[in-house]
Amino acid sequence: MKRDMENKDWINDYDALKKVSKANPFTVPAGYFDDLSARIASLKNITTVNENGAGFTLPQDYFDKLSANIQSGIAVDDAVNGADTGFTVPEGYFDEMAANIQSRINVEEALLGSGPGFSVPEGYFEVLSSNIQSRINMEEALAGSEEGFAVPEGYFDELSSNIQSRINIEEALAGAEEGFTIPEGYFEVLSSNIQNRITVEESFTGAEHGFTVPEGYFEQLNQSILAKTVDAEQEAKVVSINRNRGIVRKLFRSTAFKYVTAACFAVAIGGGILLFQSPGADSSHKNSFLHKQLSDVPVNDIKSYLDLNVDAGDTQQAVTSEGTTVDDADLKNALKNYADSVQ
Amino acid sequence: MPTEVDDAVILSKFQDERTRNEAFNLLLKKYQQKIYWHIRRMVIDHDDADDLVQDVFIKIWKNLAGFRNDAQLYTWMYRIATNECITFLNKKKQKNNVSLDDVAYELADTLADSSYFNGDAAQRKLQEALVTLPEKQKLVFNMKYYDDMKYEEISEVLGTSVGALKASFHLAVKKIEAYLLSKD
Repeated sequence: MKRDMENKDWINDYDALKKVSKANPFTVPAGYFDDLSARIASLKNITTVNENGAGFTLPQDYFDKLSANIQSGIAVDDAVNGADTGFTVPEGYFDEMAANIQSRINVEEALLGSGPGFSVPEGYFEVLSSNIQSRINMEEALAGSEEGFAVPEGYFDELSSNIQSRINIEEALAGAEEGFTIPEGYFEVLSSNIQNRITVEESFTGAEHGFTVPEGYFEQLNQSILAKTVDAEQEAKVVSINRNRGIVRKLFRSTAFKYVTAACFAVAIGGGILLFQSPGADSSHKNSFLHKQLSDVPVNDIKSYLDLNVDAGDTQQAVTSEGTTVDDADLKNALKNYADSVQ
Repeated sequence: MPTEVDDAVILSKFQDERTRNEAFNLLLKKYQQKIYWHIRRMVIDHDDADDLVQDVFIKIWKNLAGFRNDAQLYTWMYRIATNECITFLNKKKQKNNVSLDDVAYELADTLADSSYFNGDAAQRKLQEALVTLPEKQKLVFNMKYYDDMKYEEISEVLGTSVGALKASFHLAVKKIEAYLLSKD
């Protein structure tokens, strides 16, 4: 019968097992038990933290909503990454995007950098802002000056054409020097010639200052005189004094008629004297055309004309200009003799 | 069994929250090697034993507050370690879909390939014989042969009666003796 297994002598009944050493045949890595306690303690601490959730909190109902939130996230990702997003990009866009961005960066850096080819004066950008502001102020000042200065209405509309016309004129004048010539010394005497001309004109027109004549008056003057004198003989012998006076008054307003009248009067005076001093001359005068024409003018008309339109100074000047000295008495006598002779 | 700090001191310190970590460190230093070798003899491989010993002490930390003094502390820890070993071996069997005999062969291969086995030929034969035993017989043999535990203590660990343990131990020894004699 086998021995009680509580008795340590039981091993003596099993020879094969008795030969086997009871020493532990297993080994562990060197120093394994030295840090085993520390590793288990650390694991214990981690387990404690994880189980108690120390240091971490979650929003209320976080896990209740977690499933729905995850599902929403999945749906959003599907929409973004899916092909039915409604947006498309050119083929190969994303393949080339990195290279394009890098190129753009290089360009920007080249533009901003002080690389070869482009440079600015030192401190340029520091004063750039103030320079621009000054320029703006100047532009505004110039624009605002329109209130202080004005130009005729439409000035600028016509300015271009005016300048062009001026250019044409200038070109024409400049070109005229080649095509036209003037007498030598023309411009040296031009001033004195003009002055002389002015003097002559003033001498002829000096009495006209302040008066005017109807348009075309002088063109009709000669014809009118002839009509009233020569042609009137054929139409009527009797002319109304009032009417003639009116005509004569109108005609005598002109300087030319004065000269004509003075000339006629001078001719008459001169002719009378000539007839008076020389019977031969008087007879020849009576046969002249002038004598015949003047003889047809009534004496009263001549007197009235002279009284109204001729003073003694004019007569004297007219006679003096002929180189003859005549006084009033001689003139009266001459006129009287002339009138008697024609009657 | 305890030779250093008395279990009562460790348990007393563990009840106080301020000294709980200290108590756990004392517990680790006192029982870590005993628990490791108990596991190692069951799973043979050192890495598996290392993982299991950590898991065992984490469970001890979690459940020590509920430990009742009607049992000895070390038998309580042995029980936890034993259950973890049985769970591990069952998972390994289910994972590989093999029979218990196949598990024994696998353990034998592990023993042959293990770099952390320093025993002689007789010791290797003994270990090869042990892996052929049913788990409970192996457990009883290991705790009796290597740890010199009493049947009452083994009974607390395995929850089996002392008589049943004696029968299991007797059967285990006979099988081992037969195996050793067959390999001579």
